[in-house]
Amino acid sequence: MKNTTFKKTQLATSMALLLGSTLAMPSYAQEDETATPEEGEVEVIQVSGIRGSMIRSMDLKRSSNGVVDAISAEELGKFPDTNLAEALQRITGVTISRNNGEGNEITVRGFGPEFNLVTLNGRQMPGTGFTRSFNLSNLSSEGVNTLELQKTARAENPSGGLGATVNIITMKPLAQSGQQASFSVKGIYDTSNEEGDDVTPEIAGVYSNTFADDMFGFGVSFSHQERDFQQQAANIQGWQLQENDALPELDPENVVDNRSNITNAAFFPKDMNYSISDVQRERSNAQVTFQFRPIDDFTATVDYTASRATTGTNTVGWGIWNNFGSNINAYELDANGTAVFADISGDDGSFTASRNTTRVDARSIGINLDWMVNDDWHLALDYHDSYNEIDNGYDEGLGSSGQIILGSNQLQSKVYDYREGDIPQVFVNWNNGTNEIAPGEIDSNFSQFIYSPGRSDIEQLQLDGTWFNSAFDIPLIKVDFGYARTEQALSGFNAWSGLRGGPGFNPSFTQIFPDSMFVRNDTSGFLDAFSSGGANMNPGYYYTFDFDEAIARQLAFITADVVGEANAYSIDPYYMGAPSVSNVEEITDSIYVQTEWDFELGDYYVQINAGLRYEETEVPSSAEVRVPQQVNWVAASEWITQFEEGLQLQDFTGEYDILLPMFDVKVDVTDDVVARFSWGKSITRAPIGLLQGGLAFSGSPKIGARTASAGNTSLLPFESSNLDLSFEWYYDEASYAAIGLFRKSVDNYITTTGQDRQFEGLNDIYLGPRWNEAVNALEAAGTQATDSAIYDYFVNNGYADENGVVTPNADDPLITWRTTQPGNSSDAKTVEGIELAIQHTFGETGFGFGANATLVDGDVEYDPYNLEEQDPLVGISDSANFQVFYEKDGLSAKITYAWRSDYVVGIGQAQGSSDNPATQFDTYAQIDASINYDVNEHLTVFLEGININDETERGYGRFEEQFLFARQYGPRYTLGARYTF
Amino acid sequence: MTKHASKITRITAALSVTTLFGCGGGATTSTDIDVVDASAPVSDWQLVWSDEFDGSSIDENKWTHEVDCAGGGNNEAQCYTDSESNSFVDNGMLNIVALPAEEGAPKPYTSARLNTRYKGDFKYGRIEMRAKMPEGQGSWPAFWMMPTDEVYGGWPRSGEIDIVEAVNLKAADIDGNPENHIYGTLHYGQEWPNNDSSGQAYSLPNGANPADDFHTYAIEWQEGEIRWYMDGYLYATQRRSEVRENSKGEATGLSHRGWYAEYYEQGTGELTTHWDNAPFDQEFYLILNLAVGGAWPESVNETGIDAEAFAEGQSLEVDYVRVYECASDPMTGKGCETVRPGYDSLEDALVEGAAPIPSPPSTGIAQNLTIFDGTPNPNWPAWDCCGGSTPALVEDAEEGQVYEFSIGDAPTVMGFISRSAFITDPDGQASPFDASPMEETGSIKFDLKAVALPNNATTSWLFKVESSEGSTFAELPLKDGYVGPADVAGDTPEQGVWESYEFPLSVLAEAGLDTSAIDVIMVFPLWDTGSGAVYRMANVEISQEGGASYPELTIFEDGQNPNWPMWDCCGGSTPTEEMDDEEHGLTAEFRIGADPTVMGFTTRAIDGGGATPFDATALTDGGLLQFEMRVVSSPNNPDSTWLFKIESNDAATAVELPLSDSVEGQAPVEGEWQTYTFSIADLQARGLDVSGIDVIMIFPAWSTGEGAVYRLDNVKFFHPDSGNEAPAGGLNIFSDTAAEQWSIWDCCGGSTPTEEVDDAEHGTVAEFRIGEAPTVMGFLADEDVSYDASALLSTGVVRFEMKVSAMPIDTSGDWLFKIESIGASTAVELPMSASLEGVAPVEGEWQTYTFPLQTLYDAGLDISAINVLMMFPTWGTGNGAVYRVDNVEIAAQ
Repeated sequence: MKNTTFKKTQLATSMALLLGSTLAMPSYAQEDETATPEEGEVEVIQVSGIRGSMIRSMDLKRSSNGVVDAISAEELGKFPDTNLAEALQRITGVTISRNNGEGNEITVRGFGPEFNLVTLNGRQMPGTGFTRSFNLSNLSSEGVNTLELQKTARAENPSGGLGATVNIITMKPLAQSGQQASFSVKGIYDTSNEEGDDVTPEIAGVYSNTFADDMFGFGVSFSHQERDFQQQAANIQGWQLQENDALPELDPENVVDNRSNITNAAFFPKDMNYSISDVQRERSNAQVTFQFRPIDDFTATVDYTASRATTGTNTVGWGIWNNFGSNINAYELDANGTAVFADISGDDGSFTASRNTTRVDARSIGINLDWMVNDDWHLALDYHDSYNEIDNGYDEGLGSSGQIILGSNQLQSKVYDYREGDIPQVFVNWNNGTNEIAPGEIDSNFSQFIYSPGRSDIEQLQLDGTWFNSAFDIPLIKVDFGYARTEQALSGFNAWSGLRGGPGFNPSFTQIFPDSMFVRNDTSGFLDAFSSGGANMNPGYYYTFDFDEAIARQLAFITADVVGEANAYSIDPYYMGAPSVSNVEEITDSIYVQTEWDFELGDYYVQINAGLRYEETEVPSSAEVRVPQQVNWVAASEWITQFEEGLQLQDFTGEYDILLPMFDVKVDVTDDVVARFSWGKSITRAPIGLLQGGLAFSGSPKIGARTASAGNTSLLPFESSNLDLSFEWYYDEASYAAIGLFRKSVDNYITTTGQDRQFEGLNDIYLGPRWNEAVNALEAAGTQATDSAIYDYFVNNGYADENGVVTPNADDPLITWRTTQPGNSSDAKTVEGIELAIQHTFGETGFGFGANATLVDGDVEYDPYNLEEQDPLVGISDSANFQVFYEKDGLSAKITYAWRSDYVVGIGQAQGSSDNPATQFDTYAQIDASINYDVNEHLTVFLEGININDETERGYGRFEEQFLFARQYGPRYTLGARYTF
Repeated sequence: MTKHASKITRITAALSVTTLFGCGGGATTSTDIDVVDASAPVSDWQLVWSDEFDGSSIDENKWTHEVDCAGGGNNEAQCYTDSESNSFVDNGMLNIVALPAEEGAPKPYTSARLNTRYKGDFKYGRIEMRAKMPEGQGSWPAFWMMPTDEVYGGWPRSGEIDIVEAVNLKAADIDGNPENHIYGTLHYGQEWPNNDSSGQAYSLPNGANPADDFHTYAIEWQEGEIRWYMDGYLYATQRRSEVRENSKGEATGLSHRGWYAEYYEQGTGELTTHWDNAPFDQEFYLILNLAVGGAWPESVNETGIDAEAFAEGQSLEVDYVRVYECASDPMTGKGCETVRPGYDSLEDALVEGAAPIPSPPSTGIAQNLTIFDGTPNPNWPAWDCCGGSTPALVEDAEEGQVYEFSIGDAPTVMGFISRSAFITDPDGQASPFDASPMEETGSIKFDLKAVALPNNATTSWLFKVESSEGSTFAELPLKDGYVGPADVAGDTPEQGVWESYEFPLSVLAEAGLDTSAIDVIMVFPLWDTGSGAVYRMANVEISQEGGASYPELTIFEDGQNPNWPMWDCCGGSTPTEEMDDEEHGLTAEFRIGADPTVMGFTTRAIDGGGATPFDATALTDGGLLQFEMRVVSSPNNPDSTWLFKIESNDAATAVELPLSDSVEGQAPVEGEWQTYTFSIADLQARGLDVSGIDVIMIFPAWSTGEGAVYRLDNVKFFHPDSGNEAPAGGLNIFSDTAAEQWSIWDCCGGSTPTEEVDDAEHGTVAEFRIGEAPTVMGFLADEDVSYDASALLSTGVVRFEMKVSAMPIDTSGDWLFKIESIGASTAVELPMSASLEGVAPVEGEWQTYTFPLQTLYDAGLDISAINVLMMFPTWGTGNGAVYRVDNVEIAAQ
């Protein structure tokens, strides 16, 4: 067998074994024959550090079938980035979305988190909450050996990664004989922090050992991190389209209209609010692994992984709310029709306090049996049971996520001004004649309490086998095959208190809050990374108040006696009654076969991988629905659906099957150059929320409005055909350059469509015999047969009961209901792009760099001038990464730069307008740096800086002038030490 | 490497999974809703003055002894001394002791009264005392405050604040139980003896007697509000009066009747009523005293003074007196309120004050008043002030029935009066007349014949008018008003001749009369010189010539006004005159073709008009533009809306509105004649220069009109008070369907009231169904929409028909009618049985309920901006009620 320049490290080899058959196994299988670690003769090339990580990553990329990128631990317990999402963004084509300034979800080649599958040691992991996407920020990087990102389809992978499949590979004790341990302590200094501790601890450790001559292995990794920080933000919830005839006629002196690019519409901000969130987060991760290897060819592994992230957030906010119409007093429109200045009367200005503690708990227990039966057969069985639970009710005393809105409507007008600066300004002309409200004028608006836990469970059994061809003299090397069953269940509900205290300011409750409850703050230091932020803000103040006290006082005063039961103050999220619970299950059976062929074609060594995966999915969904009995005609223009008493539990089951072929060719063009071609299909299943069954009928089905709506348990997955072409030049030990072209064409986008349906037993008085009789009689009498006339005819002819209610007869025709349901559209959308990467080390100087860029283009782009609803490809953006490092003599330093161009986050805004404008994210570029110094063989001290350029996030709507948000987190630094035994 | 193994094992063990997860909690937020006791005073109350009485004697730097035997102005039975036997500090307590006086003393008891005037004077704050009260019939301890500088005049004009008083504690009350009440009171208003006060009594819920133990008594005093507390419980709130204003900013009454002040206005020197923070907006000092006897204690409980109770002395024991300032805002004392639910409710702690209620404002609509024209006006009886006679109705040869006044020996004045004290006719009611709208043009007129001159024949005759119970008046020589029949007035009326008199209101106003509430008209010989006079009066009226003289313009009425021809702007057509039904006769017909256009009437010369723009300035107060229109066929475009546009001065200003924004609030219905009315004031408010109106247009929205054919008639500008035009037709809120911009409404029950078809007579009606959730239901105007019924005040009613299909399960409630003005700024709620019909609902029957606007107005409704009407069973008792409502209207009776 041809062994190229592949350099085997101890880590790489052991990894190959541990991964079993599910992932990297095939390419290493041959090497097992020549060098297995168990033989104890492995040359230990313990290349650690940045360079080691790069070499291992590069080797993995090179040796894989299809397009695979990887990030490898620098050494035990040290990953290049502490956050897994942030680590992944170093990979070509991967961009991340941040939450609280920390990467949490990945977008690959323009396909967002829901389109990517995250697996842990080859196991499909449940999404966070009532979603499919996995929040990577809840998992620490200690204990992770390798992150593997597979961009091309592979038959043996669990399906779901339309964009990519990320496999997180953790440390295994038997991978390395004997005891291994590393322990680190860090202090995190988050410059943004105001309320919590300025320096918060992180401790992490990895320990593994083998016993009884490597028959038993035990490994444990843990990490505990605390982080306190502050997020500052300015937000607009949406831009409202105002067509010209909706604009009030104003004195010309109050209007500046610079519209030239658009002339038929203007856009106004629904609100403007500013917020400061003080966040305390605590994250604990642990993994325990036992391994048992009674004989060389059999390994049993049991592992248990647990993580818990608790995030407590206290937010204060202030801002204005706008409605539109004749209350617009003055405005200035720019060339695109965006109001850059508006003076608007009515509504209110407010001060808000919100609080919640959200806990995300994830547990996974798994067992893996791996048996090399003989030289020809390898079998593996893997089973795991995992769940992920998100619960926002961990505030002690509240049990929900609460929001208190105080404020006042005692104002003349509110002025929005974005003619200067990079965040808009607003001020209120209060009735007190100033731009500043007095504490004594602050009133109760309303509070709301939401409890919305979600849980996602996955149970998965995978059986894999490999047959190595020694029987036939053909280039077939091996055949992989397998069966898997994946049962996924998601459930969640949303309990909402309603608007407690009665929305609005009538009656007024200003007197129930002592003035001393309000603390006046000035805005210096707030959003000061922006030119119009900080002390430059107008009017430059905001009030904060004590969350607990505001509740206590409103509870004591705004009682049912004072405002009535309907408005009484309460913190009960169930005040409006028990919410309905959403449940969705998905059961998928799959089988696959995958073959590998090796042969030489001319001078070229060619490897072909071809496979097929077949899946059958069943989606049982139970829903509690109101069952219609009949539709009565109760007045000329009133039709009422009469429902059966109580709710009926209905089961809906959707089913579909899918065939996923794949085909990879890899050619070693020269010793250093690899060329690849891949074609395959990948899928991502439909969003959970749309899969719920149950048909909801209109309660007032007037003629022309007989409507019903439903989810669709039979929604097909999004299906992508992927084409990849890649050239890679491995010109040095840790250096390579690569260029890749890709094209993804995605089918089965989801649209909501209407369909006319009839249901047995639901008869229609309309156009029934009596109806027709009435029409004929009326027309014969020369009367116009309006519904009123027909109804009167019914009443006069005794077709209605004493209350004027007409009920349907059996001989009436069936009602035709316009039922809307999400369905798969036949439109395909295509993304294509080019990926460039280079990684270079300058010989023995210790210097090196890595750079990559991805340029992506989609065929459906967003047109900001188009006022119709659009359906572009979202998330598409160019991205680039650059990294320089120096590593020599125990000192290493690294600076990384990650850049992402602006992109469409999605269609629609929080306060949507009928035109469904986009939400777009502005260009983002972050610089991180780190320095490591090895004090001695065991002890390393390090300093890391994240976002040292204090990059901020900005979003906008149709145009950049349609500001949506700006966020500021500040840099954070970590000083730490790691001790390796 | 192995040497580290054991250490690592230990570390690992210590950091087991459990341990790790056990450290959670640092990031968890924790809400404590008990963090504050909302019923306790806030920390912003900062102590600024106190006496803890921990010394050995009374602190002369804080307290002054009042030494007198004046009896406190209440005929009290004690002399106040500075003797140590009457007041001393002992054991951390101030003792004020009432003792029997020595034989021969000026008063039978001695006691003490201490004040802090000029030593401790305070404006706003929390004032607190912990004390144990004395007991016994005749005991009257008090902790109170008086004004330091008496800025507003003598007692009680500058106010008095009684923080706590008690009388006769433990003496038997009317039921024989020991008295245990305390009182918090304010004194204010007019000079004694017309002084006013308001206050609240309180006793502890457990019946504990304040004379048995120490309790805390406090007030919190801030600008415009004072609250009383005993042991931290707020038992009374008093506030300044709030003058209620209508949407035009005119005072119409009091939205809260609280305290007031009456004092001489600086500058004018007039004694004026002030509904504001005065007199409780100045510095007050503290007083602590224990009176014995006096008017109050001696007249209640066991009456008199129980000498036994005082034989060994009675003591007011004070642990401390503390004064706090609201640090949030010492200037107003606001921002530190210790309040509880109900503290601001008249049904709970809020005390109604004694402020006079300002008279309703002028409606601005001039109406002529006939006081007497041969038939007695029950609201304006003829009146003899002081002579004891009753003016007689007699038959006069010339004038028919007239009133004859005869003056005897007793001095008197005579005339006509509209004050309740003098109205005897059961149908009559005091109706002060608002002549202010015609103050410039109107006059008081009457005819007078002297049947017999007074014995003192040369005495002068006077004419006098009063308003508002005599608060203003004008008195003029009678001859000043002489208008005939002779050319020149004689010095006295000519005996046996009917003479006419007319006094212009402007002259009377000049002479000091407030013309907005005229309630007496008098004619008489000079006081005490009239004996023997007999005179008759007839045709007594307050009026202006020809009612109002408002400009008017008829643009189309059975034919076009040649100065204002029919006009098609841009469509090239010529509108025609067409015969319509009998009622309308010749009408103006407009037909819109394919070319976008607008149509209407113009007076612009360039368009063929007579160049006679209309000046509607004089119509801005109540004037209208009104027309009738029938849409013969609607535009082809179903989305088209009908618009009204009016321009002035060659389109220098213009107003365009949907027709549905007319007073009637209705959009056109094909085939039906409908009336559309726009108020000139409204058009002016929307920017129209009403002084040069030159085009009016009625049309479907531009370029959506094709196919429209419509007819207009009776297009005119006018004032409803001129001539015979009926006032604006009122508002039909629900009849088959809700009016434009009004909807059927369930406040809080979450239901959607429906339109149902009832019997033939009612057709489609509104049906309301009340479920378990307490709610009220009715009709609600859209945001910012309301109806101004001011023009209908005197004649208008709110009327509706209602049928209860199912009575509520809980029968304890009443059926109520409630009407509100915009923003719930004012509201009136009445039982349905208070309607003119006077009946309560009967299940299954359609019944009509009528409420006069005047009644609603008098009860406090701002009728200029009505936006909600509700019909419902008492809150919380409505479950199960199903009822239907139809023909809801605000209309002229």
